[in-house]
Amino acid sequence: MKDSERIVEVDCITHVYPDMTKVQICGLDFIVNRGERVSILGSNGCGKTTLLKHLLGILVPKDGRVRVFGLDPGKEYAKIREKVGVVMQDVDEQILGPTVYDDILFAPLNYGLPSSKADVLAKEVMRRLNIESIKGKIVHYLSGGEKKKVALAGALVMEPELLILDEPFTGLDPVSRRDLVRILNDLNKEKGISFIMTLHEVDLVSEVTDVLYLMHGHGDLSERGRPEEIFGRFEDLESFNLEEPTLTKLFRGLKKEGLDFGIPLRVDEAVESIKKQWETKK
Amino acid sequence: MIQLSYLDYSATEGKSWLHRLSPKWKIIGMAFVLSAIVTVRSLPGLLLLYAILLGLFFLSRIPLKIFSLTLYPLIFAILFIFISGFQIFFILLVFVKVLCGSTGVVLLLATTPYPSIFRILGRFLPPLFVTALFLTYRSIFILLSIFEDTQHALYLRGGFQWRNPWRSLINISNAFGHLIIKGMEGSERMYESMVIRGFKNKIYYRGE
Amino acid sequence: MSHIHLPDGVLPFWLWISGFIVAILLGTILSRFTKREDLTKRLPLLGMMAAAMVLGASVEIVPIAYHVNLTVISGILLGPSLIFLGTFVVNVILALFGHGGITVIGLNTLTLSIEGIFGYVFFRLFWKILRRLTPATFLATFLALLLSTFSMIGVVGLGTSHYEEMMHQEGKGIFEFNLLKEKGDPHQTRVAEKEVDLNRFMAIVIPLGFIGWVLEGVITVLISRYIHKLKPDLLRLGKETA
Repeated sequence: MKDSERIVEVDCITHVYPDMTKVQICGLDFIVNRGERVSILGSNGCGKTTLLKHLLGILVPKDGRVRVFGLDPGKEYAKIREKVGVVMQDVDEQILGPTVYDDILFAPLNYGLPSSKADVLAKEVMRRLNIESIKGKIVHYLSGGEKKKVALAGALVMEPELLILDEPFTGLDPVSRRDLVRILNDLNKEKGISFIMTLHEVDLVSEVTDVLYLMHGHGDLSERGRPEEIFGRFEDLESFNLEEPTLTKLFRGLKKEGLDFGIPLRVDEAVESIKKQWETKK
Repeated sequence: MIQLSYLDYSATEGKSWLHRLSPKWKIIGMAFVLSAIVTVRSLPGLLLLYAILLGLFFLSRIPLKIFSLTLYPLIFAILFIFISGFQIFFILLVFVKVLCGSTGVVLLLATTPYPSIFRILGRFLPPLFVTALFLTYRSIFILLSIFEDTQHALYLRGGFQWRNPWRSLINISNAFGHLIIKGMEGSERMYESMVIRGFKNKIYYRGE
Repeated sequence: MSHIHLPDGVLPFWLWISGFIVAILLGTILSRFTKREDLTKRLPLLGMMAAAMVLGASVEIVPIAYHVNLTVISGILLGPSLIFLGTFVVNVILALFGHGGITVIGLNTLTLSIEGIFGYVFFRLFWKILRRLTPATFLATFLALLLSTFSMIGVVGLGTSHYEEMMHQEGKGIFEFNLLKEKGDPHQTRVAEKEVDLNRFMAIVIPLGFIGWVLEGVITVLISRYIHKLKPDLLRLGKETA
């Protein structure tokens, strides 16, 4: 049962880029409740990363309202910094420490935590992400998957309440993707960490999402709902420059041929549905 | 810059006794080498020092590709020939001093991960300067991958051709312009990451 | 070559120590002109530009030893105080790779930073006068590198008596401070005077340097035009552009 405390609220913000392009992230209010896994799907350049940067206080809106844990991140990010962990799109510029261990310790030491406490936190997060073996590795020799894990470790070390991830699955091989999905879901289940993530991998959405937002054009937040509700609306998805998940496409195709197994979003749901129908027919 | 990659890789992955020796002792050793270079004017003495450094170089199983780095400063040392009026002793003295210096320092960097070196420097240099060193070294590798990709793209698309030097020069310059812009944009994102993670003025290095 | 990396063991002790002292003093003075918060904020930028300069040092335009400098364009983009710190960092890293000595980091920084600082100053000046990017950039680069080369010649020239000692193994110790010629055996002194000839050094360095100044000037123009096309605000040219 999800707690309904609102930890993020964005109310129609306007941002002006340096080249004078204006973006209004409007339409639906962007709301994240505590414990929720929220994903944002949208075409390239629609404003997903811009929205995230407003949540982090990196960008300040010209108009509109942004609240994270009740505070304006543009003015008071320092007060909520320890509650928020971030994994950027390009993790190379995020990984700053000379070694993996140093990078994970970056935030705790900056916040003035005693070395002993910082070490405990770092070791715990390395154990959870299974990266103890690369602890001493110099960061420019990490593989893409390792870099993502190290960036995630750096984001999790302070035990945040909210994790913001910008296209975390980009560039990962299928096994690394599955691994990351499992880690994120475990964190949500065990620690109640809320997520906000942007992604392009529609096939993964149902596995990591409680609430899905669709964004299109220049910041138009036009759909919000559970993934199964949104993916049910096939025509709408195309207008967002998105494809429906493979499984959805398959079962919709089967339905058109008279084989109605519903529209499951996950493989285990699909197996259950087929099994049920099969046993009924038997 | 391929040598930098080898140098750095050798420092982190090397397994020789010199790699395992404490960075503190290697830096102290380098300080002795520098003192010798500065004070000694005996050619046999300097040749002995160079022989020792060469011996250490090869005993540490450092890749031979890196050895060429030690010879590069000779290009500038050659200019001192013209100061001396081709005095053989002076020329040899200068060359051997230069070679001792470059071999010693390359030996240090090829057997000691850079964070260890910077950490020791951090004991007596201002924190801001050491942070700048760390960020620069990190940025080298970020930009290096961009630069290599650009070089490959130029090469595959005929961007470097001796028969068209002007066009090649434009392409190289544009590649550097591209690198600079990418670097500046990257530095903004880097700063955002640093602020988000509470950076004040220092990058900590703890090592293992 | 547009500038020379001075090696260890060739220059007299007092000269390279002075190099460090002056470099540190100058760095401290220049950093006073920048607010600490601004300096901290611009550290990643300094890191990236210094990294670009180090990478530039690895690309040979004309073998051997003509490599892309990027100090002037970095000076234009970073400004005087940051470029000084940047060149200090670059010289430390290059010294670790064996490009230039460790004891002469201070001197190498001073000569290299002349390119960056004067490159910035001349660029602003010529831009104000000419309002055209190509000549402003070329002239700024050419003159900055000319100044830097002559300052390097000056530095090398200051060590003349030291080279004489080295040639004759007089073994008077490395701490001798000699700006003036010593009184000694007149025959040996006359011989030494003939042997140490800065004019010969300059006769080689200046023509080679000239090629480097022109080459670097052209490259800096091309880079600045590229940057101006894509991100003109980086050059801070104001409203009127060429």
